[in-house]
Amino acid sequence: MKFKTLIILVMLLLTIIGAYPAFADNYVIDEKLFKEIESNLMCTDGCGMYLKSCDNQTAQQMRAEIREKMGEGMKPEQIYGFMMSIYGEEVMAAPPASIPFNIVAWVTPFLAILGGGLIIYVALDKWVFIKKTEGTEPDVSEVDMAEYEELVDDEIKKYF
Amino acid sequence: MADIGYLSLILAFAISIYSVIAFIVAVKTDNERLKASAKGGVAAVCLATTVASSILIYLLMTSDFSIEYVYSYTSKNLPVFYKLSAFWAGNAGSLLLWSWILAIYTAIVTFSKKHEHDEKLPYVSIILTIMNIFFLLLMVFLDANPFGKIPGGVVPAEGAGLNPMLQNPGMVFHPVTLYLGYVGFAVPYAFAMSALLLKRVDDSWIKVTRRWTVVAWMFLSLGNLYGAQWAYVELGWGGFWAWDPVENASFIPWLTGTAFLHSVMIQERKDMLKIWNMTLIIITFLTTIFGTFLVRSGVLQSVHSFATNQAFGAAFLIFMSMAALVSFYLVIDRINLLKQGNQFESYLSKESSFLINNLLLLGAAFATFWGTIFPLVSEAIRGVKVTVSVPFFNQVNGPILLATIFVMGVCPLIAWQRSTLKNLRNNFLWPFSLAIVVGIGLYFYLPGKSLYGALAFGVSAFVILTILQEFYRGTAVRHRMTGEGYITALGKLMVRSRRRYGGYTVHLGIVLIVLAVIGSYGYNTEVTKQVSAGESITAGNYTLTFNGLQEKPEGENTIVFADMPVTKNGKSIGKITPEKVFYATWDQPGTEVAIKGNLTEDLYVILASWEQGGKVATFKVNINPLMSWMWIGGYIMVLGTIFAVWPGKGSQLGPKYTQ
Repeated sequence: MKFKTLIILVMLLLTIIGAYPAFADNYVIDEKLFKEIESNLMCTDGCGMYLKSCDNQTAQQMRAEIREKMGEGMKPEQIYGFMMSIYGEEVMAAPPASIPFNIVAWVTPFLAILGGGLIIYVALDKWVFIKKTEGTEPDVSEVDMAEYEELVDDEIKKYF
Repeated sequence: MADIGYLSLILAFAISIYSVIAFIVAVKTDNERLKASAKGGVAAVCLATTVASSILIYLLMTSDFSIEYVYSYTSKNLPVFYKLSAFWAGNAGSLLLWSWILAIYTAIVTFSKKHEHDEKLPYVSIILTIMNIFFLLLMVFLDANPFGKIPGGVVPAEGAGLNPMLQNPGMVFHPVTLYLGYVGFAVPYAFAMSALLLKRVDDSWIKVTRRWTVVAWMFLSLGNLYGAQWAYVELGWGGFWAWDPVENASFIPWLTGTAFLHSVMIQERKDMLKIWNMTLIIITFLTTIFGTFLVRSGVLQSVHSFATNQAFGAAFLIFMSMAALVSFYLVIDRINLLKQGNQFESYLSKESSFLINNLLLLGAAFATFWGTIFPLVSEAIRGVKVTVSVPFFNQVNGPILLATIFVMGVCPLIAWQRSTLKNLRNNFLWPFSLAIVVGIGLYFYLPGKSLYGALAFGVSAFVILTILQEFYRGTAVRHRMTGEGYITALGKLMVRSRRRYGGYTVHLGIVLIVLAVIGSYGYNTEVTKQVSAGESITAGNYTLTFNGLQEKPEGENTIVFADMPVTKNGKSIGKITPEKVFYATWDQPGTEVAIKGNLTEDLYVILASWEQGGKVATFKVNINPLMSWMWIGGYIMVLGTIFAVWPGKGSQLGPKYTQ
């Protein structure tokens, strides 16, 4: 009896596994995740367009592939890996940071800004002439000042 | 007729060479007659390129298909408006447009009464004419002759037609405004190089070229804006900016040009940053050429590229390298003359804040440039091609540009020379506090609870509030002192200080554009759905009902469309009609996006595909919040620029600080 139950269970399990692709067809796709994956890929037919923006045949086919892989339960990283194995690294819309060299792409702009900031700091340090500040605080704002100056100019023109 | 056009180009080329030689000899020998003759040469080049351009327009209008260029970009049924735009639809025509604009600009500068006694003038004319020699050379000798005859000599009865995607008003204005901007930056560059050649590196070149710089910047802004508008309504993918290499190529000079516009103020006021300003205008000029190089070289894949040969890329690369070498050699050679006069008074001053503004603008320009060329770097070093597209630029440039916007709110309110904590408190307490309230409020009110979105809205609110505060304070001071009504006081205040209030208006326009960017990127709704006749699509508060596809002829084209009744919150708001157009003269059908917009959002619908003879169709429905503000902001920015450069009372610079 126990053996029979075991066989039935194994057969049931095998049936479920065998029926998996059909089951996958009915898998409810997480549309938000689908859009996220789509927005990290490029269309690969040479149109140069971002997959999310492209509507040609290749783009449709790629979307179907993504849905299929999501249906198979693949995680985003696995889908990206799958896409790269077929189309190469180019299929990713941004250089994948999982490849060490690509980190250069991501950090260089910020390093450049940091470097620039450092240069500005050093330059400012050199240029700033620190005066004794007592009594130098302006009492009149720049806007008020500009208006006063213009009125004085007008008066001068009127009477002199 | 076409032969006269080509002859005009050859003449322009030959006269340009004469003009350059004559100017050089005239300057060396102090020969006024020869100088006048060289100036005549500049006028003749302007005339010759005008004749060539007029002939090309005539050939396009009369559909003379014996000319390869006319055959390739027009057809008999093409509306006159688009026949005109075919002028710059191809490589050869766009080069002629560049050369024509440059020739006109050169003539304006050369014959300007204002520059009559400026010793830099012959040098400026020489530099601008040398640039034009390069463009004329491409047309005359390098397979970019817009007047070339059709191979085989048999005149086709009909032309190949203009790419339908280019048949949009945006594509008529976008290239022209972009070129007016690109070429416009050649003028301040030429004046800067002349100043270096003559060793007269005071700020006179900056004063003389200020209007040129601002107007070039305005056209470049307009060019980018028209490009975005075209992409939004014509390309049919739901967005307006895809960080394509060619789009980036027009954004980079805009960023460096913006940095230049701000940093020259420090030279005007403080006699400082001379080397930096020289460097910035050189970079800006070189990046305008870089953009032209990218479109024509084929080194990077882009939807905007012209099909050209490798010789073009090589020619542009050589020209760019030569210009860079000569320019930077001059800067290094004259470095002692470029030593600056004054010092900064304080760490906390408008001058210092401008340095931060320059750092961020240049940082964004570098990030854009770096992302654009990184595929080449990767291929050269690793031998692996990579793509650098939207996710990279959004993630890298997003924070840099947001910081730039924040600095845009801070800079104008910090005093020149020295600011104080009291000054900061007076100027920023209310805007900053209110902006925090706005940011927090929007974080909880808007869907998605996006921290980044709320931060971006908060920063934008801060900038808007600081600008409004400046207008209010100025008006209040004037009202108090003169007794004028508030409206009169505001008007007079602005007119009396055009540069200041024109600048604020430009900033306001930019923040409105930023609001549209945040709304459409961070809070858009996108639904793609396949529906059968009678079914509905719901996106946000909108419901669209599909009643099947219909077909109608329009001229020689066939249009497939869907008339879809739309309701918002259950109330009818009319109908929306997305289309696909099948062209008689073009293989690929075009997508005509249907947009129903208001100040809050755009309902943007694309007919993607259909099956079963139109009984089942797939639609892409986007709700793009705040998109209208992008175009409104753009025009406010243009108005502000015109107001700021308008000559007359109030356009003068403030005093120079000599401490």
